[in-house]
Amino acid sequence: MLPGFFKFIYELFLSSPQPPQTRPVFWNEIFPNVGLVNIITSLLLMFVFYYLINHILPVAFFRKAWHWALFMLLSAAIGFGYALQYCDTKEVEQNSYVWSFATINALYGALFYIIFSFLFRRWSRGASTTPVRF
Amino acid sequence: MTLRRTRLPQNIPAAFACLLLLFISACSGGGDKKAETKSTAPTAGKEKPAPAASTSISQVNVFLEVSGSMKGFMPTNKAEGITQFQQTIDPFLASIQQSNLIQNKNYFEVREKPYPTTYDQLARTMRYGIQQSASSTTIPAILDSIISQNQNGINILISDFIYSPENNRAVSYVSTDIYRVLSKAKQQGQALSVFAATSDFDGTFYPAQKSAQKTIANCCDTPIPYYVWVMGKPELVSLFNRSLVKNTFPEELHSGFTFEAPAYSVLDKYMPAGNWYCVAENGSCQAITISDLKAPVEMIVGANFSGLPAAFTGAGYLKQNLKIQAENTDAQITNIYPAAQFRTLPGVSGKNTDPLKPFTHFIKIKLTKLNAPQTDLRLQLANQRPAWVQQWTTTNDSQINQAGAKTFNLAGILEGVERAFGADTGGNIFDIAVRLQKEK
Repeated sequence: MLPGFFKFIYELFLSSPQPPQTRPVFWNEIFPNVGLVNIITSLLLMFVFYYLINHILPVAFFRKAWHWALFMLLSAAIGFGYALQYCDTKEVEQNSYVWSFATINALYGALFYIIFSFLFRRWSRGASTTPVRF
Repeated sequence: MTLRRTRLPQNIPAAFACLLLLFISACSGGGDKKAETKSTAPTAGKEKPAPAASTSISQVNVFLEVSGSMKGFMPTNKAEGITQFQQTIDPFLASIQQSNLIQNKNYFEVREKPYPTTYDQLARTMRYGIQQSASSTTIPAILDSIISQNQNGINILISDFIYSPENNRAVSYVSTDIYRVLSKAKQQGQALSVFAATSDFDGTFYPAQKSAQKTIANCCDTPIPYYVWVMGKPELVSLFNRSLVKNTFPEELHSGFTFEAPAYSVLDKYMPAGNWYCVAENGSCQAITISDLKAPVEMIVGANFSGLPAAFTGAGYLKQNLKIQAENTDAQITNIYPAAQFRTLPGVSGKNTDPLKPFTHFIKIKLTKLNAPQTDLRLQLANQRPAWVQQWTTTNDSQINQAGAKTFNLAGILEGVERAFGADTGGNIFDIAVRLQKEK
């Protein structure tokens, strides 16, 4: 179930893994593990921004849209770095496919962060309207 | 309001978890089924449980033929030096005598029948020559008396294997006679390794064909072959060959063994070409999925041949006898690399070579067609009679000085061996399969 889901979301934007011999390791290990870590980090960053900083800690000034965007970039950067690093531990050579995979993973890192933000922001005491009020 | 706020943080983690699960399961419904790369493992089928590895041999009986025809190998008065026979057999016997692997060592001199002797006595005969040569006996008779004793150990017969029966016409039936004797050994579950070498010869040569010339005195200008037959339970003979024979003799032949299928795996990281990938099962890849054949598929299969006798794993033997059997594809072996050579290839040398460690040989396979959804590539190594047998055999040894290092009707003797042992081996040393399947 999980490998199928992650293969689907990554191959929306990417071709099948190249060289072809790396397909099993991408489909069975890299996509699911990197994807899951990506979701967990964006969830954590969302939690830190909305609930640690702007709910439990009395920090009044760190709730601007660009503060929120900073965390989004952080989520993307972690997604990018982790994807590269994980491919390396799986002994997949750093070719153009690995780089584009890392880029797509960074985009998903940002996307998941945005999705989680809008899903969960309403219970945050300090930042329930960040990044935009609507 | 205050009340509500203090209560909420406790609910948040639960809400996260629920939503996350919902989100993932909702999305994954759309995940396509192509991702399922699972496949049934190819059924090797032929794998047998490995026999318990033996670590010692209870008894070894060494039989040295000391008939007149052997005197040329062990002359009493050679002009200078010692013969190659003595150079080779002396350390060979010593290593048997000193081996901790063997509990009991018995030595026999074979005249008209085997006579027990001691190591010292036998070594003296071997070193300083046969004092009084015995009348010889025929090979089937010697073999018969050897096989019937010491069935749980190893019997070693050192002889020139020149078949000289009383009735000269019996030479034509040597194949049948050998077959009849060795069939008994086969029934007892024994196997046979034949090692062959040549030596200079200083004495009288007794040709098997007595019609033309009875003996050739002061023979020979050319080397004469001699043979060491090692008989016993297959696992004991393998152990003996591995630890004591090693590379002592240049040529060898093995009969009656069943070899364990070698470990093997497709290695997708080294020099792959074409659009395919491994279906991994338990860490080794014995099946591949082919996405398309727009470009030819090339792959490397690593295999561990270290359990096979050296005679079967030489470059020449593999090249000739390692074959692909497969339907619906034009797969061929394009190259076979020994481990050391493979590591120096351009597509390999820069890479992590740890995955290569379990394997001794690397087989490169190429295919451009696959006309069925799936097929099994069977890699088979045929148990061919080695080429040296044909080179060393002669139909007439009465002019041995001209004929060279040949033994009369060696092919006939070994044909009898093959008939006795080869009945149910199927002719293949191993048969391993790589499954090919098209991507669905």
